[in-house]
Amino acid sequence: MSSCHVPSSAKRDDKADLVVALAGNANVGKSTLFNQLTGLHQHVGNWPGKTVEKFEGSLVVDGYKIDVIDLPGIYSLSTFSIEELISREHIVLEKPDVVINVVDASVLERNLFFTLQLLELQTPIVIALNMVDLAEDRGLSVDEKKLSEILGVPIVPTIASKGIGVYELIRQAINVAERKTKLRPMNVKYGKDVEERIEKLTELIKNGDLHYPPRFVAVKLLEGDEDIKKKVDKKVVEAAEKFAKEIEEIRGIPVPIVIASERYAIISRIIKESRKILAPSKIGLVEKVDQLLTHKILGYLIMTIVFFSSFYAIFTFGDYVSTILSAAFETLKPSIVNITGEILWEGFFGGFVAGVTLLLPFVLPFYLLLSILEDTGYLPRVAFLLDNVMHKVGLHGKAIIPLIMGYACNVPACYACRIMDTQRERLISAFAVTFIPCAARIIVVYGLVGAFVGIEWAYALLLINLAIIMGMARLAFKVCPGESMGLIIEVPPLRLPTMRVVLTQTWNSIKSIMYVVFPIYIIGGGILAALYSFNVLQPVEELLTPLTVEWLGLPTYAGIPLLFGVVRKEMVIIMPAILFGTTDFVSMFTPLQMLTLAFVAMYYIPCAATFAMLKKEFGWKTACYITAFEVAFAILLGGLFYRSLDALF
Amino acid sequence: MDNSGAGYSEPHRHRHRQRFRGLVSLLELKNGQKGVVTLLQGNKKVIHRLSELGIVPNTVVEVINSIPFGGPVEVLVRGSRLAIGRDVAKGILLRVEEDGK
Ligand SMILES: Nc1nc2c(ncn2[C@@H]2O[C@H](COP(=O)(O)OP(=O)(O)OP(=O)(O)O)[C@@H](O)[C@H]2O)c(=O)[nH]1
Ligand SMILES: [Mg+2]
Repeated sequence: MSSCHVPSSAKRDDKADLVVALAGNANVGKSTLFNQLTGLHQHVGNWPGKTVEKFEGSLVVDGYKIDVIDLPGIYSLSTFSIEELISREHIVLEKPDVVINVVDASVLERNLFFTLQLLELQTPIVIALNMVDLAEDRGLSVDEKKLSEILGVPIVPTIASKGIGVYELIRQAINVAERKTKLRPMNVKYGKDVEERIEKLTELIKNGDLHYPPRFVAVKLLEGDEDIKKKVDKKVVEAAEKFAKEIEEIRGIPVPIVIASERYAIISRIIKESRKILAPSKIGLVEKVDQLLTHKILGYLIMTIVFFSSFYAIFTFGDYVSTILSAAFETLKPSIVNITGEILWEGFFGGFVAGVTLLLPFVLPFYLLLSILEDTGYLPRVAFLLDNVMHKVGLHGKAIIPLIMGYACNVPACYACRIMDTQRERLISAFAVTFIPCAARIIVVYGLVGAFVGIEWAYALLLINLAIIMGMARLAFKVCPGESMGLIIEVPPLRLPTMRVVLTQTWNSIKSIMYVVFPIYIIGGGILAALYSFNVLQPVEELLTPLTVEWLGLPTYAGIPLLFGVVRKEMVIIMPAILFGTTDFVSMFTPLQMLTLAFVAMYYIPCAATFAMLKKEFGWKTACYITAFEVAFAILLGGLFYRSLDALF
Repeated sequence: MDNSGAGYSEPHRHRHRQRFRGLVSLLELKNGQKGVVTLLQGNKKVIHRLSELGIVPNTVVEVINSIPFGGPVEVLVRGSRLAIGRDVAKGILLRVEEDGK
């Protein structure tokens, strides 16, 4: 073994010396650890399934340039879900120099189930025994020396959220990667009947050109792993199927359960030797609160209050800040216009002002509240409460998580639909998500309806929206073929939100929005002003009048904002604000027109970014279908909405 | 390993409950009640997933919360808390020890 301490970076300049992957169960702190290591800002939160794609970062430590890969959380190396496939393929095909297996010390048994599989995969690993603080609160004491002895791999206790143990961990990882630490990975042995057949299969596979170790392949074949089946000879698959049948006959249960049972039996023995249960120290109040939050009656009451007061807070805060900022810019405006006196400048500046006065005051509280909800662990509890409601529309409780995220922005919410277990459920929930009025649409609803027609109308629009979402999900459920699975979700511990985490998360979201959005507003505003001054847009507006004026009862100048709204929904009111130089929309629309415009803007099309996400997740065809459907839906319903309200007013 | 009574079955229309005399489904347990997993029924994938999460024959499962009218149940298994939908829960059949009542 070379003891050369000079890293090989001299040879490969920009390439990393080592690649370290973080793998483990969902919600164990992989991304928190990743952020600690790399200084980046991966999404963290207290619910399982946030990271759905691998993510890279790097750090330099002790003279090594290390690439760190954050992987999605998984419970097993089978390939039911996209996350499992991503993680497995990364570990096997890209062969990181070392895998840091992040383990939740407070749920050791279930976490070791994954560890055993990594051992079977013969990957060099180091275990990060994370959340030792939480384990201690629960009165669980893990003897990491003993555990390390049994498993034959190094173990470092960590508290990722506080950065404790992180340096030691990375040093151990380097030692393993550089082969300075010898691993003596434990052999995972099954019962005699199973073992005999694994050995026979292994013999058959040995010569095959696979990236996976033959024994791992043999076990997976017995379990009936579809992905592995495709990778081996037909004869081997047939042999495996025969063996699997024999095992099922002997044991009376299918092979995957036989294997899982035996792994858990091994783990029970390991736990017995390496973990002590002391008296739990810190339960009581949290437990009581938790019981209330998921109580069969009070739980629903609290949930309603939480969501209603969230919207109330957003509207109140947004209105307050928006008014102050508008007033501030109002005093600035005349002098600036006088200096330059140019329409174009008015457009640019108008775009900027509209962004500051309309977007920030509303988007900020949304992200703040969402981060708080995420960090407390409330979301999985809502999933529990609303499981049977979601069943009525062909989904299950987990779908509520992307739906709630959708209120901040549809784009990450569509991504989050990957937590659903089947492709069909992912599609249905993503379709439902596109109907969720994101912060941008809430701005339209508030800016037009809440501010000038009456806040109760804004709430009414949101309630109607809930009914529409349920109807749409139900429709998609009827139309989409495929299979559904029931709810199975881990309930993470409830806790008070951490200020630092919440603020960092909010700031990161807001920052990335501002980078994208302000240029769009400013350039869009400039272009709009220029086009208007050259009389380019009027013919387009004319063209749209049958739709805007005749069918929807809107003024002619509503056409262009609706077109701009395809880029970002809030443009629907930001454009008129720029054109008229004010956010006092009373001069532009009648109350009925405000209601109709807000209603149409809520549904008429997924914005450009959402479309791109739909395309990425489900392909061109599906994205186009959804878009076409929503355009038709919004126009049809918008006209009916206008007519029925017209009769009322 | 004790496999007596541990079994598996695909759902079958004409199969009656008395075939599994003495077994109750997870749905029938009251809050705070424990049972030993004996039989898993239902979709293959669902069963596989459950077994990976530690719900395998001879495992003790405790119900800690449930929502009536078709809602899910929350269970404690091997130190982890899982929320399990009704459709899934009804396929988890258990043996209830007398003192568990
Ligand atoms: N008490 C405690 N909490 C922690 C610790 N490490 C992380 N957390 C919290 O655990 C939660 C989950 O952390 P993440 O880093 O998002 O977990 P993950 O493994 O990336 O989760 P997925 O991407 O969903 O698989 C967050 O709320 C963290 O703040 C720890 O050592 N102790
Ligand atoms: Mg993560």
